[in-house]
Amino acid sequence: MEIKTRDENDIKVIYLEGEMDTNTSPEVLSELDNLRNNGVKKMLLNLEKLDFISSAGLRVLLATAQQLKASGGDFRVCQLNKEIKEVFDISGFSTLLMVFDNETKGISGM
Amino acid sequence: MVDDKDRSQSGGNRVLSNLTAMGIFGVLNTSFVVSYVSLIFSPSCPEYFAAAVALFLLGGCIVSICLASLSSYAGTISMIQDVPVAIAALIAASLATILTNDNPQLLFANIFAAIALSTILTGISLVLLGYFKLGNLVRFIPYPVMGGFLAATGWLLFKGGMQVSTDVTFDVLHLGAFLSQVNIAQLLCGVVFGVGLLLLNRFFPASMFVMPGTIIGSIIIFLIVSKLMGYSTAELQNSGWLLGSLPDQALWKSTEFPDISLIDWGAVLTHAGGISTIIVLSVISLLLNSTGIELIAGRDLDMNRDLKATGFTNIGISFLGAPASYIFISQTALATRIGAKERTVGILHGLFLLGVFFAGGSFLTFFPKFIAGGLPLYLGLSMLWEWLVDLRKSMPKVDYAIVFLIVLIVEFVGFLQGIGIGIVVSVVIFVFRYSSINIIKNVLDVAKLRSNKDRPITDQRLLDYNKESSVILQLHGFIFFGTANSLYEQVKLMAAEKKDNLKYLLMDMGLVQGIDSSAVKSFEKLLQHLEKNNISLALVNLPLGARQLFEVNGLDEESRAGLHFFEGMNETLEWCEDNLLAAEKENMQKLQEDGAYTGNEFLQAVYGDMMAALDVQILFETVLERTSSYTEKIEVIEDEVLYKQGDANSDLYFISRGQVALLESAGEGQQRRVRTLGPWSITGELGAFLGYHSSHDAVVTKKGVIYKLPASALKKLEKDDKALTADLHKLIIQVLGGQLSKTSRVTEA
Repeated sequence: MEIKTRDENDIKVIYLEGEMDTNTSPEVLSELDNLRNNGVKKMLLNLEKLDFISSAGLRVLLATAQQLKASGGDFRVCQLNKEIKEVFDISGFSTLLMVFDNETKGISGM
Repeated sequence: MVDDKDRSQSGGNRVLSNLTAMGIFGVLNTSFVVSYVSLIFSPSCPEYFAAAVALFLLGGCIVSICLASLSSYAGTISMIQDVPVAIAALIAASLATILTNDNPQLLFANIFAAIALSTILTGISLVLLGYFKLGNLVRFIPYPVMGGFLAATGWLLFKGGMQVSTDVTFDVLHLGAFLSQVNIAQLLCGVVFGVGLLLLNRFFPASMFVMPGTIIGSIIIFLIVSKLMGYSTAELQNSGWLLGSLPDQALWKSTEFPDISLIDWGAVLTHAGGISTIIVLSVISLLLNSTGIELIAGRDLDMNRDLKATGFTNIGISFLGAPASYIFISQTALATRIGAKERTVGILHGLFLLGVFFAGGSFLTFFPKFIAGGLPLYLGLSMLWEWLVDLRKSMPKVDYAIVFLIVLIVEFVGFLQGIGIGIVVSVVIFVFRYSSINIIKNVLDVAKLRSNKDRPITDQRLLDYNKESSVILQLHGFIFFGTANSLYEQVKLMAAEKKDNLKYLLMDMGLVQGIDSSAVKSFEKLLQHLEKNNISLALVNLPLGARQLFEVNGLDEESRAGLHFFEGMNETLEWCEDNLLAAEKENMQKLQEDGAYTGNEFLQAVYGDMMAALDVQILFETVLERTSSYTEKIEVIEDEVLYKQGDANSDLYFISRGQVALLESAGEGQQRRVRTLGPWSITGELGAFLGYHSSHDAVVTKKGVIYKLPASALKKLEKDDKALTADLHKLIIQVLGGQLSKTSRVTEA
């Protein structure tokens, strides 16, 4: 599991690569918690290169989104590949999270 | 056929009852035949009076014996009827004016032909009604009309009784003239006899001896008093106290058939209207009489059997030139009341008429006329009391008014008109009353009733938020213009109350018995209103033929965008939910792109439920991973069958990806979807844990990955790893619990 980030003004764009399963999800949660604890209030996750996401991975995304939004921040995801989009649709995350086609649209208005 | 109640009567009593009935009805009906023939033939061809009496008596004899033997009610007394006779008399009078009046042979032949034609056509009509089992149509005649018919029959009997007792036509509007023409002593005797019989029967309703005892006692008293007063038989006859109008010679010697070559069919057929009236009245009268007998006998009759029997008998007697004949309600009722309920009574009555046919009717000269008139007078009063006085207590005022109206119209206009107007008024009142019945049985929304499609929590919550967007109306009863208009008004009100929120109106017609064309027009009006307000109408489970009725009237899916037809409520709900969710998500997406929607509130609202669901999903995935050495991974494709309904399946299936439908047999090769299961679901649990045979087919509807845990592997797992087994059981409880909670909101339509 590889996690890369870049800054776009006050927005942290996070790139997830590989498989986000029961084993790797704690690592992602830890990274996202660190960013949050370091004052990041707006996150945009680019999932283009994420090959697999399990329910444990979804749980990490949901928990982070809830905490950020509850503290007045923002949490968005973009560029979902076919497999991840299917999981999002089945689990209801497409409706629950702010999902955008690409980074530009995701950053816009954030 | 004799029922148990009848069998309770001793043999001696039964014989006495039957002989009494034979005597009473034999004498009465012989008198009726004489008066009928007088009415039809005397004015135009009196030379044929004896011939006609002989033919009518023979016809009456055949009718009585045949219908007593063949009818579904054993105690049937049948005879030539007064209504066809009255119209036949009008036809005879008309024929006399059309044809040469000074040729009685010609008139007799043509009157005979007209009556024979009306009787044979009546017979054919009755047979056809019976053959096509349409006899029960009479059961649709409203109860007040039935009451009115019986009360009017009672009134006519009363009038007839007055006339027979006094030889003067009774007219209620000219009572003074009537009283000035009659022999008051004779009238009083008839009235005292009739009223006395009525009172005795009301005070001693169970006694079968009241009627024959009163009749025989009255005859004896009359003859003794007359003797004591010094009157001879000849004096009594001359002063009109006795019957005795029959010819002295044996009637069979007078039997004569007309010369067929003299029949002018053109002249006869000019009376097609009168003949048709006889047919219609005879059919209605027979059916009403039979229904009346049902009320008196307290059991259902086989109408179709009686129609065929009466039809064939009428076809037979038409060759004798006898008018339409059928069950005699008043005499059958009287026979029933005096305990003569066996087939013997009708047969004996027929034999009595045959006896008169062969022996002549001179013995009737000793029968007092006031008793012959007092009997129908009693019957009339009895029926009037029952259907005008007693009925008043048990009938709504409006219905009672119909009964009274029918009697008035029968008296002052005509019998057919009375029944016809009674039916029309009853139908109008019925329509008015039925229209006030609410055909909406239940009103539901999508929050209460869901399709069986598995949906994520977010979709379920969105549907909850949009519960005002759809309404399910469960309809019942019959939809015609009255109820459809009421439905239209209610829907309009409902749409107004929900303002712009209502988008889908689902009408479940599974309990609707039928829809008529007038209702389709109301639906068109309803659809126009809904389309104007952007509301879609879905008609579900339409009764047979209703969809074609809609489509023939231009209400089809192609030309009306707002109209949809469905065959099951589940697919309708799924369609409605899909559309609602698609519209809602599109709206959310649009707002999101415009920056007007953050999704924060929605996320906070469903967060708890989503986390709980994710915890179960995580457990599902963890358990699957840990049990991988016990399970078999199957890559499934669409239409693949996991197990069939009735199979002794004992494998447990874990759906990791894809979709599986559970289908149940709905008969006639059809299947009904019970549920759709998506990822993180389990199926096959009843067989795996309880050993039940499968109650449904499990068919893959979307390719994916399924893990199968065979029963043998489950047993091995339970032995090998207690902790993993505990987690597996925990998972199954949580997953099945979740599936069960969704099922409680799912319709089985």
